[in-house]
Amino acid sequence: MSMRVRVGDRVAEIAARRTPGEDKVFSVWIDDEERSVRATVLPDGAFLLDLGDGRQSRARVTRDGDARWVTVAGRTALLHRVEAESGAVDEAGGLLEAPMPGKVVAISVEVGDSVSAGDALLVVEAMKMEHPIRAPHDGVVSAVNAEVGEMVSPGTALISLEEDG
Amino acid sequence: MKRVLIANRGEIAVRIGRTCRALGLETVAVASEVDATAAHVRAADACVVVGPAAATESYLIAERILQAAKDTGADAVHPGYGFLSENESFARAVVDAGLIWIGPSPEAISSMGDKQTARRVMEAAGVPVVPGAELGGDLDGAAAEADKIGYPVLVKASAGGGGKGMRAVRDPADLTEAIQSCQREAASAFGSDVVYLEKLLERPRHVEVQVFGDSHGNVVHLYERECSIQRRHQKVLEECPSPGIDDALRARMCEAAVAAARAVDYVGAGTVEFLVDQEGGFYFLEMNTRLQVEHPVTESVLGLDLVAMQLAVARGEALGITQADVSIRGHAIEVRLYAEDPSREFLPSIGTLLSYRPPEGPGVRHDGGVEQGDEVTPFYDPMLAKLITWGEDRDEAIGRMAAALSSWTVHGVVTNLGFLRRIVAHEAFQSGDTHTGFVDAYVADGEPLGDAPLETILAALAVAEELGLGAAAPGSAGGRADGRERALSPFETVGPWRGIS
Repeated sequence: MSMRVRVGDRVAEIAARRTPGEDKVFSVWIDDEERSVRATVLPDGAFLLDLGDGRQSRARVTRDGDARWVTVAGRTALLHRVEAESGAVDEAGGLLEAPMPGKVVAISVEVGDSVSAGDALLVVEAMKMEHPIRAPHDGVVSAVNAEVGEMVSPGTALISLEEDG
Repeated sequence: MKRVLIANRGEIAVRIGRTCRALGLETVAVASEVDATAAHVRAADACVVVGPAAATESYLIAERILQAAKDTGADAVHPGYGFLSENESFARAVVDAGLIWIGPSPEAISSMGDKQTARRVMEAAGVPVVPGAELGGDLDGAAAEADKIGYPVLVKASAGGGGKGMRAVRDPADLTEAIQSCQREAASAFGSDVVYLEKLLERPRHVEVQVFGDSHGNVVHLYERECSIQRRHQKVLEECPSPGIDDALRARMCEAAVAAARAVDYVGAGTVEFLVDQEGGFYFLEMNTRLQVEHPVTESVLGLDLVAMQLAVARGEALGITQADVSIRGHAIEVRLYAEDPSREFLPSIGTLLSYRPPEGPGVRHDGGVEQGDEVTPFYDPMLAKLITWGEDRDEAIGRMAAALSSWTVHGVVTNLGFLRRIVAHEAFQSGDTHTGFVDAYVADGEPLGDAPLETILAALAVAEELGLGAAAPGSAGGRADGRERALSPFETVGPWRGIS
C-alpha cells in the first residue's frame, strides 16, 4: 500500500513490498522509482537497512499520529502523511500566526497602521525568550486579534496584514 | 549535612543528585505541577510540588523553596544554575534559616551578580574590562553613550546571563527598540529591567576560567573552557583546553581570574568569563557565581567532581588540593541538546519524547534531564541534555563526539542534533578556528556532509510501514498513534520503580 508523505517542502509517494520467499528483501518505490532493499528487524524495534551497497545503517521509525519520526545513521527527519489530493502546506495568507505557545508581551501596531516588511509588529514571549513577529511584506494592519498579556497557542491568527493596493 | 534540597529541575538537578547519592546524602527535589513526575523528581528521595508551571510561580518563589526545605528536614540547599542560583536575597534567606547554602556568600553574589558593580570590582583588581556604559532612565543619554563606545554595541541586562536579555545593535536606528525589548525580557526573566551598554568585539573567542575558593582563604583556578561556539549568545559547544590560546596567555588569564576571585573573598565554584580578541588581548565579561552548565568538560580533563567540591566547601572544609595538584589530561568537548528546530529559526519544540536513546561508549558522558516518555513543555529552558566526550587529545575527543552524536536518537520533539553534527563535522571547528561568529559564518541550514540522503530516509519509512514498525514504546504516549486519549495507568504516575527489600 502506498503512502504520500511530506518532508520539508518535498512530497513523495512511497511504498514497499516484501519479496516473496525472501525474509529480508524488499522492493521499495519512491515516486515510482523502484529499488531493492535489505532490512533486518532488531529486537528493540529498530532495523538495519542496506540500500544495496553492502553497508548497513541503523534505522528507527516512530509513529506519532499522522507524523513519522525517522532516524537513519544519525540523521533524523520528521515526515507527515498527506492526503493524496493535497500535497502542499496551507499558506497563511495575510494572517500572522503565533509560532508557538507563549504570551503576548508587546503590540506595536494598531488597525490602520502602515508597516514595512521587517517591522516588528508584536512580540511573543516563550521559553523566557522574546520572539518578534515581523511583517513579511509592506502593508496595512487590518485586524489585531491579541492583547498584551494574553496566552496564545500556535496557529492563532494574531494580526491580519493587507498588502498595499 | 545529611539531606540536600536541590532547588532546580532538568539535567542539573539530576546531575547534582548523582553526586549527593554517591556521598551518601539524601536529596529533596522541588517541582512545579507539570514537573511532578519529571526525571529530576524520579531521581530524588523526596519531592515537594511548589507551584504551577510558570517558573515565576514555582521555582522562582524563594519562600516556597525554603518551606519545602523545612517540611522535609533538608539541612542544605543547592541552587544549581539559573532560577535562584544567583539571587542574593535567596542565599541570605537560606543562611538565615539555619541551612547550609551551597554557593558563594550573598555578598559575593551581590557584587558579581550586578554586572556593573562587577566591572568596577574587576577594574579595581587590575583585571581588564570591555568598554561599556551604564544606562540611566532616559533613552537620549543611551544614544550618546552608544556613540561614544562606538557601534556595534550590545545591550545587556544587568541581572542577565545565559544569553538571555541581550541585544546586538549595529544600526543606531535600532537602539531604542533593542533597549526597550531588552528591558521587558529582563524584567520578566530576572525581575529587574536595568540594562547597560557594552562594546561588541568582532569575532572574539569566549574563554572562561573556572575558579574555586574555600572558607580558609584558598583559591585555585581549574583552567579554562572555550565557549566560543554560540548561537545568539547562547553557548552550544564548549571545550577544555581552549584550542585558541597558548600557555603564556592561559597563565595570564588564569592568574587574572584568581585575582578576581580573591577580590571578593570568593568561596565555592565560580567562573570568570573573558572575551579574547584576535590580538590575544583579553577582557573581563562577567563572573558567574554558580556552577556552570559546561562544568563537565573541566571535570573530565581534571578528574574532579565539582559538585562534590562545592558540598565540601559549603560544609566549611578546605579545598584539599593546591594549584600544583591540578593538571589537564587530554581534551573534553561538551554539546548541548536543545529541543529547538533549526529549520524554523530555532523555535522551541514541545511534545512527548516517544523515543530517547542517548549514546554511550568509552569517554562518553550523558548528563540528561529527560528520559523516554517524558513531556517537553513550553515553560522552561529547552535544553534537554548535555553530551561530553573525552579523548587523549582533541582529535580523539572530536571523533568520539561525532560518533556519539550519530547514535543519539530523539523522536517526539525536533532537536538541534543535526546542527550539532554539522558543527562537529566542520573543518573550521576541527582545525580549532572557533570564535563567537562561528555559527553565523560557517553553519547555515542543512545536513552534515556525508549524511544519509533523503531517499534513504524515505526508503526506511516505506520498509517500516510495510513491517508495521514504529509503535511508540510502552509508557511513551501509547495510544497516541490512533489519535485517541489514553487511559492513565497508575504505573505511569508513581515515579521510579523501587525494589522491595
